[in-house]
Amino acid sequence: MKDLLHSRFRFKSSELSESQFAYLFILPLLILLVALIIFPFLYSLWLSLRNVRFELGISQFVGLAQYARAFKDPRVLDAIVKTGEYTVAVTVIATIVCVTTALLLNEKFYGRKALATLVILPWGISTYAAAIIWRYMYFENIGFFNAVLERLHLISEPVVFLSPNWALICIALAHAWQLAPLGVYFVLASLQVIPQDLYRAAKIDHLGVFGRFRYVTVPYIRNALLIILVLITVEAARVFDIIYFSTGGGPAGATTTLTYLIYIATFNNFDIGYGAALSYILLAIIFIVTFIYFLLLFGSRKEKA
Amino acid sequence: MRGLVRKVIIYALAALVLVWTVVPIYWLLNMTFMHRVEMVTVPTHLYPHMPTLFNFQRVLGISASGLSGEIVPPSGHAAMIKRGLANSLILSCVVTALTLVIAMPVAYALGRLNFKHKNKILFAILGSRSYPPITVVIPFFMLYQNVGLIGTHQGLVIIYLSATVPLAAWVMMGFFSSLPRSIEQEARLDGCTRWQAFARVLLPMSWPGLAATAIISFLSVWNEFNFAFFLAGGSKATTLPPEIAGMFVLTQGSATEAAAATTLAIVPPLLLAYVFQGRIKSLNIVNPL
Repeated sequence: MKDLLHSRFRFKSSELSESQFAYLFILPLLILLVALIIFPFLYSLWLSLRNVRFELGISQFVGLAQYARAFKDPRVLDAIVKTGEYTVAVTVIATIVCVTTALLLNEKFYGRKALATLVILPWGISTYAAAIIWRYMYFENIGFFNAVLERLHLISEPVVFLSPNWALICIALAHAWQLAPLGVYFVLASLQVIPQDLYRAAKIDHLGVFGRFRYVTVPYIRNALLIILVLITVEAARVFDIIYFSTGGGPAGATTTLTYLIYIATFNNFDIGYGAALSYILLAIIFIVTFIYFLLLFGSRKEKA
Repeated sequence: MRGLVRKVIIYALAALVLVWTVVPIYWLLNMTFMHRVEMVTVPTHLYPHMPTLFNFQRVLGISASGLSGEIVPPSGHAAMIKRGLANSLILSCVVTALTLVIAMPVAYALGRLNFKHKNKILFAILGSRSYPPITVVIPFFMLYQNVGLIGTHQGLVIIYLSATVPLAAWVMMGFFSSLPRSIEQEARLDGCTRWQAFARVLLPMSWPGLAATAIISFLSVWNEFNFAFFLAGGSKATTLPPEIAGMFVLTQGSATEAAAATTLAIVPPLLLAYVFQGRIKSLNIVNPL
């Protein structure tokens, strides 16, 4: 019986063409992608065209009214600006950290191996835990920064880091801390394939440190960098937990990004249709940004070919 | 002279990178090993002068002895933290195992077979990664309420699989595509079926990639907050992160005990990150396309 089954399967899987065999293998992925992309996409769209208020027992079709409401709501524009500021801050900080660390690890120095091992650590830590960790750093009375600044006699009063002006950038720093490590390895991998002859040739051409970085290093790490930029930008634009754990959208709405506004609309106000409409706006923004990155990425590949 | 300047810059940068990476983690540990009283002393102590396991004992539900030797009962959060730890461990293991079983054939097909619409599928995988969790949560919240999956392990496993399988397939695809092309051809010439070429020849060669993919899957579940919070928060199925939120965000509990709970949550990931780092070269994440 076992032999029979075995021979039947052998007969079958060899009879399939490569393409059919491949589709058999990726079928589970297709099902999950439908569950993850198409179902929420359509269901949110349907919700965003309705006014759903469970506590009042209301669920009616309202057309584009929720979107019209969103564009008139000053909090929405404010949240979009905050999301943009936050995303740019995280991306810039994380990219600087990531490229600097990779360039450093590409040099020879004592303790390089140990440092390369340690650098990965924040990657393992989740965003919510990163938020907690950095809140302990920022605390007014028991925080690390104030403790050190006080020891150095640089301040007489504790600094309020999570203030309306600085909270957004402080959280961005925490998020960049957690996002940068993986990128370090991507950039390092692409740095290591640069032929050393190119640097020698550039030196002969009298290119300085920055000239060599611009004309030799950058072209080689460009693609790795773009992929990291996509990942980091998307992570920053869609993050929720880091804000929930560090500031709860405050103080005075200073860190209420679009994701946080969606959370308030949906889970605090139970205004589910409005939350769905807002999440469509966020989705549109993320897709546009990702699309621009892809143009840059694949545009550059065509040039090379 | 130039060599010296270069050396100084390199070591200064190395020191900066070290401080940036390690100090935040150190500060959390510093809080974890302090008594509440010591934490609020002025000036703030930069290391625990009287290191104690008091906070760990309290969050793990063990009576601890306080500074003056008095017996302090376990934290009110202890039962939830312990349940969260157990749920996190179970869910992370189950989802990782299922992810590997489902994603390996997918990754093999993506990395080594030719078929129509492959690029579209790759694009869909990337697209699925850019969905904000908060937008995915709303439809799933409504769906789960209707079918009774709110606050269940099954509900969480389903939503986690939809996130980990595409990710694992992407990572493993890079690994598979880096193996020599001739492997299956030779296996097929030796009389293997397509399935045998995959299962008996290629898979056993893939341990390094498999281990790295397993770590990524485990961490995605262990570290996940949003789905656990919105789809299972406050239920028996809740994982550790929402329980920590209950301690850290919702109630003004003891800061040192919240630090101890957070330490419990980050120690397994830190160990896995260390293991992962050794294997990262075997992956080919950047250029799988």
